[in-house]
Parts: sequence; structure tokens; C-alpha cells
Amino acid sequence: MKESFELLDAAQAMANIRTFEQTLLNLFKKGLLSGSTHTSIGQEANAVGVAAAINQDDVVVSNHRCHGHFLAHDGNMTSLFAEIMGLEGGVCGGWGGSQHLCIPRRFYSNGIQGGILPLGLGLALAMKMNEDHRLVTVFIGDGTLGQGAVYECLNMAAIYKVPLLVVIEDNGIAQSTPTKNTLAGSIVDRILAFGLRCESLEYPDARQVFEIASELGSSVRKGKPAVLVLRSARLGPHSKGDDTRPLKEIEELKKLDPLMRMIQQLPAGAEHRIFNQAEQLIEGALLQAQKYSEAKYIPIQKTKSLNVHSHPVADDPDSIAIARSLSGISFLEQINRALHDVMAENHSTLLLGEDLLDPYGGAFKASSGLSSKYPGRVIATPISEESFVGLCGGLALEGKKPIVEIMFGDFLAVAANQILNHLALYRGMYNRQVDVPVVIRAPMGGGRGYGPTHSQSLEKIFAGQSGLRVFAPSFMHPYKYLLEMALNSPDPTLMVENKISYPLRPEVDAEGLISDLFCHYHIEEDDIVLTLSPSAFEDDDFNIVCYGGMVPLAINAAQQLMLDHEISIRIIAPSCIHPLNAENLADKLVVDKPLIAIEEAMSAFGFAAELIAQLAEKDISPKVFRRIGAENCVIGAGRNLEKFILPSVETIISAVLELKGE
Amino acid sequence: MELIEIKLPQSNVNDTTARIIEWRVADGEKVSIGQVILVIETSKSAEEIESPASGYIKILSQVDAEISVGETLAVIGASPEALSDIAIKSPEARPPEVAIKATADAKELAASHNIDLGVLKVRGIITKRHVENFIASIPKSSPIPPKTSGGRNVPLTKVQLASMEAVSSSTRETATTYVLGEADITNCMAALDSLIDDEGLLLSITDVAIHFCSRTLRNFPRLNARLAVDMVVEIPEINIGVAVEINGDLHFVVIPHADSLPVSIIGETRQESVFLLLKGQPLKNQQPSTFGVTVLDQPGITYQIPIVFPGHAAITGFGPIRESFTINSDGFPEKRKLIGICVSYDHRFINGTLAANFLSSLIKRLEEGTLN
Repeated sequence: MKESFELLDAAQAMANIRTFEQTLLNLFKKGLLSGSTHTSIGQEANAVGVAAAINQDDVVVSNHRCHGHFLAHDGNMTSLFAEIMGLEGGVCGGWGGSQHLCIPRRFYSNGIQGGILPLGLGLALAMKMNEDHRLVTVFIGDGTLGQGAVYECLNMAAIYKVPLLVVIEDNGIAQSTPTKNTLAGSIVDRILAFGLRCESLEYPDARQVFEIASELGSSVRKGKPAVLVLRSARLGPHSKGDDTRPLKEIEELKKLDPLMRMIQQLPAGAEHRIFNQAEQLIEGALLQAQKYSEAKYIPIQKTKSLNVHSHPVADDPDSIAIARSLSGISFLEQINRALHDVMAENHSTLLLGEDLLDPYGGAFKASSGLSSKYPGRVIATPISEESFVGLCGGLALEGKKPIVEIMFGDFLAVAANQILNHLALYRGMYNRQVDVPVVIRAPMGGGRGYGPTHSQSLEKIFAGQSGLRVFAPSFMHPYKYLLEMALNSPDPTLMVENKISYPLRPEVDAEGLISDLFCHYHIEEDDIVLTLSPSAFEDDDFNIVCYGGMVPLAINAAQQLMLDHEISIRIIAPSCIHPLNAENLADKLVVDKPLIAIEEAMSAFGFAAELIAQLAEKDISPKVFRRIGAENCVIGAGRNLEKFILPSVETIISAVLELKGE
Repeated sequence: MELIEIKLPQSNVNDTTARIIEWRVADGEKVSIGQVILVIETSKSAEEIESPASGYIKILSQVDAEISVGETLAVIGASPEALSDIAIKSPEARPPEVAIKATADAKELAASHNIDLGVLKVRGIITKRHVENFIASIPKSSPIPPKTSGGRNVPLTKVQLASMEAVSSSTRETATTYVLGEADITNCMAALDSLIDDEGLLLSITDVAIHFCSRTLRNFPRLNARLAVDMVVEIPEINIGVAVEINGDLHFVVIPHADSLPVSIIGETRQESVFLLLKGQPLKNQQPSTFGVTVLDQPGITYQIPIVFPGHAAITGFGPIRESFTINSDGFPEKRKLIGICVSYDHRFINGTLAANFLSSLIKRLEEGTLN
């Protein structure tokens, strides 16, 4: 906490923000800026008062209306101009723009309403775990109180006792809708319901904000999260040209302008001097910023296979060693052991999710024994998927490596906002200044009769998002290797685990054959591709490309097709389904033989579609191609329904025999 | 009342099987609805299962059986008579572990050529082409017999051609080495004679050899093994293959799990197979052998030195029983029955010491002569 508050300094800081934002509006009018901007004209006292109350190394997390918070927390004016103008010298190299700013470990903003709460919560949780002296301040507006994540996070903040200060700037209007039309009850009562400390001020000036924020800050630092509600007047539009309020109303609000009220307390002539200085500063910063060139897109180099010859061969000694290491170990045991290993090897690794603690150890027991062995590093969460996935982003930005379990993969959709709009984007939109090594484990798939909302394979919803990797290993892939790859990656990874594969154990014989099939594990830079063949890869009649839970079905079909019909199936099973590298898979295909791609979800817009599209673009598509997937209907709970709806060994065998003309 | 099946429930999402720990009711007993009838063990806990109905119970699966989810454990009927037709599953009903996997086409072709698929050294599933290749590798008798003066051309039988390939393969691929010894089997033969006389069993020294070899092997797993790529696979089952010559053809008769069989059953099993062979019938569904035994009993011979059969680690060759005088502990000469034994072993993965220890242990057992 800062010891003193200088009125003149505060007024100058506020005038700087106001002049900066007015300049932005002018630049827009002149057509010099693209995109949008949300100014905080009239609310500068909140930013400046809070910034004065916290330390320079504290973290501020802000929203779409973030310029004031950024500048007040010692942000660089030139780099903010450059960012908003899409220039290389911007805070985020022009990638983030007005709403997505980042100073690693000090300032983050994001344009999704309420989405920053989980981020702030995660940062604060990391600070608590690290016994860090810092605190996290999250600024939200009254409009954001319509988002559920806000309450999930207030709840968790109270339970986890983290150093989190939430500042609600209540300007009485959300874009164009008056708050009274959308907000029932009282804001303060909502906060108090969580047992959190809550203070509120009506149209405060910067000094009042400073004083109350300082007081709250010292208790927040001791692990007592608090909320500060600041009634404020938004004097400008929501973004630009979208203010539908009557002029008279705005004129009334202008009387509450904290900047002018503060200037009135200063000696005569202060207003002129302050604004003069602000204009000079802003003009200088703008000129400086304009020297930067426009942000340029440099394509990321495509990864190449490490194997010079990545076509499959029988008796690759490394492959036999991998197969033997997995022999007789169930998929679930593999996962549990891998989790134990990564927890032991790196103290930054954390586990989060519902019901993870012993003796229960998670719905599928993947976390069994971990909370007993690593107390404090296995965190049981409330049923708040969006927020507990989102807070992993905050943990990661503070150097943690969180592994979060979604009890059923279907619930990923609840967390989709945080996965798609936050975790996956942080690294790109913050111009690669941050790493987000979050692993999201999701048991997926049907076959257990859990019914339509607990049986889906939703990975395709997430595959295709930039900045997010999707692994879907089979029970015969070395899980630990992939888990480590994910944890060492700067990007978040969705780890799709087929739940009916959990009890499966690879049957590896002394000669390194898996279920009588020759195997080859291809270690690629970003994946492990498993190929299997009953005829030592020499005489295969069909290609089957599949992943995850479809691999055991394909193996079973391959055995039967060989024993009964002497048809040799080559199975090609990647574990990384996004980004899918079909070029890598193409090396492993038997050229000129039919290709069947299998996925458990219905085929539309899925894995097989992506695979064939990529192959076709490379002019290496097979002449005969078939997709096998679920029927286009919900996954019925009944055993017989599942049997009919989901792909099965029989479906695969009959597809092969049909193509073969038998 | 219809019959009600009691099936193993899915009590834990990760379990596909459970084990029966205890039946709380006896087979045929009257049970009532809600009564705890059995206890099963899942990967997590023991669980009690209640009867879904009242009536008489027929128990189908025994304690310790590993049961799959959905499998029927018992049936309840209105009267004991209603249950009389239901067959009890015996553990033997499960298909035995088949070591050799072959396609339908391959099996058919092999059977038509009288080829034992175990002779083909194929990793993975044996296909028709593997069998064809094997057949092609068997040398064909030339269509025009070379001219000879006074001799005769004798074409080899199919069995001889197949064993020719097996023998060649052994010579090519194994590094067979030998250790020789002699056992005093006087006590052993006395025991055998009394079995033959008292119980009317038809037993020979071959059965005794199988009996002692298989029991000794229990302590020498390395000799009941095969070599796979870069490791030795020690096989849990001890299946003794005994060489039988019938009309010039060499056959291998397999005594599965010989180490757990009494000598009388060993003899019976062997004789049944020999009988079939004598009738010219093929031996069907023979399990692959894991260790070889061969006995030659022509007088005057002292030792025979067999080759290791492909896929085995070792074989024991027994010579005929001969009588000799030895000096007993009282210093008097005594007439004893002796037999020469050779252990041939694949020196690539078995050391001389181990083979010698095996032979020595075998001799000790033979000299003690305890049958069964």
C-alpha cells in the first residue's frame, strides 16, 4: 500500500486518461483507427484511486473498458496507442487491440464480460499457494453482474480465501440498457450472500477510492477477499456513437465528474496546466507510436516429422519397448500413474476438479491416492466448470501447471467460454508473452448407458480452435509421454479420454505383438502415432484411421477380419487430433488401398472430414474412402440403443466386407 | 413363475468383471426376495447381492470365479423341478488359451497337408500364405527318379517331409549342446512294477520319464521356455512332447500339464494318442509342447543324444535300462538297474551349469523313485 495520496498527481493521472481516450475518439472520427474502443470518461477516479492503493507488482485484471486501468497501473501510453492502432510496438504487438492488453504478471484484460473473474481468481489462488505478497484486483462493470461466472468466482474466492479484490464500477448503464432494467435486488446484498466483505461508495473521487481500496487491500492481502462497489458516471458512449441517453441526463451526470470536482480543490489555474500537460504527453506518445510499422503476420513454421522414414515397419525395437511398458496396465492405471509421476516430478503441477479427493479419488478414480500424497495440490472444486477451468488460466499465468478434470466430457460445453475465448486465446492475443500449460482431462464417449448428456464425444467442438491442442490417446498410447508433452507445451491441451477404455489392458506378447498385431509407435514432434498390422505391414488390404476409443474396436475388427477372411487391416491411430497433421498420417497409409476413418461421434464436421480434406489437398487421397461414426441422433441410454447408434466392431467388419465385395 | 436370472450388476464404472467371494445360500435352497444370496468383490469393495425374487435357486458360478458384468450367476425358479434342466457352467467350459493363432484358411490348408501349425515359426497370426510357403519349403521328390543300379527310390511321407524341415530348422537355428548322466532306477522300476501288477496299468519307462522330467521342470522354468526376439519366454504350462515313431514317421504326442498328472494318466493319455496314430488317424487339437522327451530302448545302447525341437529350450533323451553290479554301502556287490540320460539344450540362452543342475536334480528324483 502506498503511504500518501497526492491530489495533484491523481488529477493529472485522471486528466491523462481522459485526454488519451478523447484523442482515441477523435482518431476514430478521422478514420485512423479500426475496431472499437470503450472509454472510461467520467470513471477515471476508480482506476487512479485503486492504482494508488495497490503496489506496482500487484496484478490488475480488467475488462473491455480497460485503458484507464492500464494507464493508471503504470502502463505505457505509447505502447497502448500503438496497440490500439494495430502497430508492432503495441503492448501486444497489435494482436490484442483495445480490449486485450497484457503486461505479464501485472496486467491482463479481456473483452468477454465476466470471463476475467476466473482469470483473476486463478492468479490470486497461485499467489496464495506461493505465499506471494501480491494481490489481484479485478475490475468489472454492473452489466457484468448478469454473468454466472461472477458468482461462481465470488463463491470460490470466499472458500479458497485468496487475495482477490473485485471492483465493481456501477455506472448505471450496460451499453444502452439502464441497470435497473436488468438487475434485481441490490449489488451489495448479492456480495454479502457469499460472506465476503463489501464496501460501496457513491460517485467517489480518487481520494475516497484510494482510502477505501487501501483499507480493503491490506485485508485482501491476508487472504480475505473483498468487493468494492463504486457508483460512477459514464460520461461518454459505451464504445463510440452508441449513446442513446438524452443530453439532459448526461449534463446532469457531468456535475458528478470526479475529475472536475478534484480540480476544483486545487489552486486556480490548475485545470489549464493539467490539461495542457496531458495534451503534450498524449501528443508526444502518439507521435512516438506512429513511428512503429503495422503488425505483420508471420506464418508459424509447420512442424515436421522427426522420423526420416516414418512408414511403419515390424520389430522396431523402440516400439516393442513402448508396447511392453504398457502391457497389462489398464488405461486408468496408466493415467493414474502418469498423474502421480508428474505431481512428483514438478511441484508446480496441480490437480483440480470435482470430487477428486480421497477416498473417492474422482468419478473414474483417475486421481486416486493423489490428494493423500500431495495435500494442498489437489483442489476440489464446486460444480462450476466454467470458473474452475478458467481459473487454471490464472494459475498458469503465474507459473503453475494445472491439470483439470471435467467429470464427464459433455460438461466441457459448460466451460467452453473459458476454453475457447480465454485459455486458447491468451497466448496469441497477448503476443506470446505468456504460456498457458493447462491440461483439461475429459472422459468422453458412450457405451456405459449414461444417456444423452453423459455419453457424447464433443471433441470436434474444440478441435479446430487455434491455440488449443486436442489429444485423444487410445489405451495403447503412452499416456505419460503425452501428458508431459502437454504440460511442457505453452498452449493448453484438451486430453480426451474414452471412458470405456479405462479398464482395457494392452495384451502384449513376448514378441512385442499387441493382440497379435505388429505395432509401430511413431514418435513425431507433436504426437505419437500408433500403427498396427497383422501382417507385419507387408501385405495390408485396408487402412483404418481412428483414435481414442475406436482403436480397441478397430483392433478387434482387424483380428476377426484376419482370422475369418484373411483381410489384413492396417490401423493408423494418432493421438493428436488437432492440429491434425494428415501429412504425417499419409506416410503410414498403404497406398492404393481403401481408407476407412472412424470416430465415435457422428461424422459430420468431424475427424474423418478433416482427414480426407487434408489428404485431398495434398493429392494423396485414397480412391476409396468411407467414414464410420455415430448415427445422427442423441445417444440413447438403453444398451440396445447404444449398440445401434455408436460404431461397433460389427459396423467396421461389415463396412470392410462390403468394400471388399464379400 | 418364469425363471429369473441373477446377473452380475455394473456396480463400478471401471469394472468389467467381479469375483465371487461367497455364496450365502446353498444350491437348490429356497430363497426369499431381498435376502442376501452372495458376495462379490469388485476392484473397489465387496458387495452383497440380494435375491430379486422368492423361489428356489440354482447356482451357476462357483466361488472364486471371475464373472463378467451381465453374466448370469444363478437362476431362481418356482420349484426345484423348474431348475432341473439348467446346466451348470464348469470352469473347463471356458475356451482354453490357444497359443497358436491361425486364419480359417490356414487351418484348412494345414489340415489337408497334415502339417502341425506349431512347426511354422510365424509371429502373429498364421495365414494361408505362411502355410503355402512352408509347403513350398518342403523339398519335393523329383518327378524323374535318378537312375540307380540295384537300389530303390523311396519317396518320403508327408510327415517325414515336415519333420525333415523341423530337424533342419533346429540344426540351422539352435546351438544345441549336451550334458550326459546316469541314474540308478532300481527303486523307481520297483515302484512302476507294483503299479503295473497291483493296479493293472499299462505303463512304460517313457511315462516314468515324462513324469519325472515334468516335475523337475517346475524348478527349472528356463528349460520350459522359448526364445522370442530378444527375450526368453518362460512358459507357465509344462506340456511334454514325446517322440513316437510309427511306421518310420516321427510324431510328437503332447501330454499337457504333465507335471500335475499322476503317472497313470500320463500313460493313459500317451497310449490313447499312440493308438490313434497307429490307426492312421491325425491327432487333433494338440496343445503345443514346451519340452521334449524321447526314449530308445534297443539293447546295447548306452546313450542317445537328441536334437532340441524348434521352439523348445531343451529335450531329454533316455537310453535303455541296463543291469549292472554296483557296490552297496555294506561293501557287497549288488545288481542295480541303470539308465543313461542326455539333456540337450539350446546353449544360446541356457548355460551348462543350469542344464547340469537340471540333469542332476532329475537323476536324484529318479533314484528316489517316488511315483506320484
